[in-house]
Amino acid sequence: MVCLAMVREVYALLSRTAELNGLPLTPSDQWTNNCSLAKPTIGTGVSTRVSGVDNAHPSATRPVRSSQLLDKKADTMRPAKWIVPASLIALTLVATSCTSSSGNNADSPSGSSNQAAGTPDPNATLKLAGTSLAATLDPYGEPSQVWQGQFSLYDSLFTMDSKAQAAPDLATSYKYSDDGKTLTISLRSGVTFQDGSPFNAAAVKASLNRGLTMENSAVKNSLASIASIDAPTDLSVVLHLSKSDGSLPLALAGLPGMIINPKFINDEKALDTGAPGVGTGPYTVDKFVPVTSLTMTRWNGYWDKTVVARAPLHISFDRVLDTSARPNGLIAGTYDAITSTGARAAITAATQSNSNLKLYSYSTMLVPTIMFNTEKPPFNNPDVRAAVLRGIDFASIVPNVLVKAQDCTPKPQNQVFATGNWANDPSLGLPTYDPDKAKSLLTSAGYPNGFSFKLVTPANLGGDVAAAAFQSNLSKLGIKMTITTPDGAGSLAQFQAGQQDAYITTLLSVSNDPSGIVNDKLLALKLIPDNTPQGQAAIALAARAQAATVQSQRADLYHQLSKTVQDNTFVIPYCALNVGYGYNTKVHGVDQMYRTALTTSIFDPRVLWVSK
Amino acid sequence: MLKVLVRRILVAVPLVVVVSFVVFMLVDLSPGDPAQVLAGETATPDQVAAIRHQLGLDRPLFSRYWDWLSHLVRGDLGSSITTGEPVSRVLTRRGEVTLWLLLFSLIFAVVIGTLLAVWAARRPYGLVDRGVLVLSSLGIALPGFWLAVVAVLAFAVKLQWLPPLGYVSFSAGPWEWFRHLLLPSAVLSVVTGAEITRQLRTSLVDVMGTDYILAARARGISNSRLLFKHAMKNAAAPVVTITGYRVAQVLGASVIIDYTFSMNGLGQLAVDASNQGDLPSILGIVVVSLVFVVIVNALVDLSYGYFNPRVRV
Repeated sequence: MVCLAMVREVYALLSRTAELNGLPLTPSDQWTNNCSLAKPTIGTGVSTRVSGVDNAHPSATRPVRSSQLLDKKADTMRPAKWIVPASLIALTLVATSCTSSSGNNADSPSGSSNQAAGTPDPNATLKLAGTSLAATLDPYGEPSQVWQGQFSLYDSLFTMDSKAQAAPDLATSYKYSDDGKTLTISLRSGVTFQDGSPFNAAAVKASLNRGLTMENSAVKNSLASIASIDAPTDLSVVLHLSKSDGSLPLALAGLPGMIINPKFINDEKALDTGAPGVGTGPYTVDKFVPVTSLTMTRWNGYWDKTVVARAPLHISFDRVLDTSARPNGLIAGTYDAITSTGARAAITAATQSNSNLKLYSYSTMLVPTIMFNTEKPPFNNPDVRAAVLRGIDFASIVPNVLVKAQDCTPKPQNQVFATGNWANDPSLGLPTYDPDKAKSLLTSAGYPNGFSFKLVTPANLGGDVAAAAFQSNLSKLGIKMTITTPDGAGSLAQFQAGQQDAYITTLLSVSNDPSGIVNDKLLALKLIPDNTPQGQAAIALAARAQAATVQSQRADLYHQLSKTVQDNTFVIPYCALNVGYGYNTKVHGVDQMYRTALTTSIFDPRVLWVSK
Repeated sequence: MLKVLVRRILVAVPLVVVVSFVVFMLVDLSPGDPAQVLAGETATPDQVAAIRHQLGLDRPLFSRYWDWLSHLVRGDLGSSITTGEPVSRVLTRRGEVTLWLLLFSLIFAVVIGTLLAVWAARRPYGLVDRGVLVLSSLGIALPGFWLAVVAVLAFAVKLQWLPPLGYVSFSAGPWEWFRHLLLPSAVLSVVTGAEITRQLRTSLVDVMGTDYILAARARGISNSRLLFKHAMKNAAAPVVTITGYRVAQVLGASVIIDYTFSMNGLGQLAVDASNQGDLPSILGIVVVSLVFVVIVNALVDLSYGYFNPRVRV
């Protein structure tokens, strides 16, 4: 009997192994993904209560300036390679039990919004885990999107609301001059840094000047239009711009707008380690191990007393790369909330067997995209790029392959600005899969029998899976694609060096403003060629869009830019990424993290709280 | 004895030079640019070039290697390219985890392996012996990563007896420290333990068949005393050999354990550093591992003298 029980136990464990590694994709996963699209959007993001895909999104898996220096492969590094064979072995051994397990859960909804009532526990410790942590806590020193600590220690001048627009934070309002070359920002009163130093215009001036002049500043590009800064009063700052620039409020809603205590402006060590008093944020650092872990304690002098009243006393964050270890930690109670990067299926499985666990997803502004070297053949020819666009069946590949492999939203999209973002033009249609049209485009471009090209994409971020799927489609047109998947940041380097003809990665920027993607990706990587009339028109449009300071004008101009990019196939965006969080039901506010979750997969400590 | 140890360490010096240079070259030749990694995806080529210059990556390979070597001689392993931390500090922090993991896994392997071997050797080819044989074969055959996943699911997720991941230092509490080490160490000890079981069992069976054991048995000495007092010492030499060479292998296997249990030890550091082209960290790990393995092997050689006096001659 004992033996029989043990055998049963082992079978059950093996089934869990397979489930946790995301092998069975239950019908409920598909249902909830589709369902999420019908829900009202939360601005840029479509909120989804649950999904069942298994993958990492690049911002998360890049290695941190390290790890990231990968998720991205930081936020990613990525699922451990041996997990796949492990899952296969386990699944092979227990195929039957796995199947029945999936079937049993097929109809059960596996998550819900975490808005259940509860009383905040002011003495709680919130234990978090994700795939990446910065190498430094300096808000201007970390280029990768691994800013967990920064969002706890610092506040920005502006924040980002659910509609991905700038909202007041340390600044209460802003006003552009008529020519758009002067931006006057009013500052919040009664705010102090954690050491009691006053937050004022002088602090803002000193901080932004550091971002502009610091060697290797990660935010310099976002602040580039600032020519000089005045502080006419204690609570107002005037930014004199070299040209009209409507992107600043949103740019200042992220790291570029984080204000550093002037006392520490030249103290790199203090900024790297988050010494007490560096910022105005709600938490101070207890211990920071670069790239590895961070523990913090609530600062009761924080200016927003609603945050102080509900925020947990301590927050800990661990970097956990393994895609099984994180969900296991959530199930076992080691963690209260985790990022779902690469572990979505495992979290989904856990939520189905444990009603105390939930999964919440944001459809983000992050858009995986095929980029071309438009400076040389064959992709300097717009017909060739259009042929690639028409020759790939995105409508089939995205929902059937990339939802699971790349954390894509099920519906493909073909704009550089994600669905829900105000810069996205909802009236633009999706190009249809049309191999015959692709063939004729190739013929008119002088490649009737196809051609060969080299594509690079970072390993293990899902772009490799996407590339393989695209490769299959394109081979039918006689287009032979050779895929290279280096680890680390080698992909970009190879593409920039002209060693590769195409590149798959996610469009992202330090700036939350659409101009960030345009400047940091489309223009910096010369994806829009400046030697063609179409390219020049697009570049001029981008400049006008960035210069505009009236929101409706900005939106209109970015819509035009979207159309121009799409019409000329400068790049081929193919979906938006979902960022997900697994959490236990004592954790609240997961669905309110617009400030961080729409552009990254990090936690926002200002909105999270733990109930008693 | 000390002379042997010193000689072994001196022999390691040219080994460190050769191996570190090979590693230096391989990292340099491998794709990936730490400057690009540091600069991030949004950096312009000029910014990347500036960082590359700042890190000295635009200098010739030999010049950079010589710099590193001359600092090493002074005990300076340099600083991590990605975090800026001194490599020696990172190695100390991460090495603590790996060292405890290694130590616990070897203790588990030796203790459990020895007990099973003795149990099996008491009745060669009996039921227990065959059972132990099957068990040890399984221990060798089962992939460590799979075992780790199953162990976590069983003891941490399902039964919730032990934490599923992470490491806490001894100063945070001995009990928690031990609990966090128990599962990963146990998993890591399985292959070594299985090998020790098989090897020791065979040695014991051989020794137990020798004339001096037969004579001792004829004098009425109990089976247990025969095993533990008279046979064990003669049979132990192979166990020490296995334990010694398994140190290097366990060090390698700890990469998987680091990942699966999120231990943040040297294994994880090695993977991260390799992905990011963090040469100082990679070289630091190589040097420390090399010296550690050389010392362990020297100690193993020295121990032969204890187990077999003829070796001393």
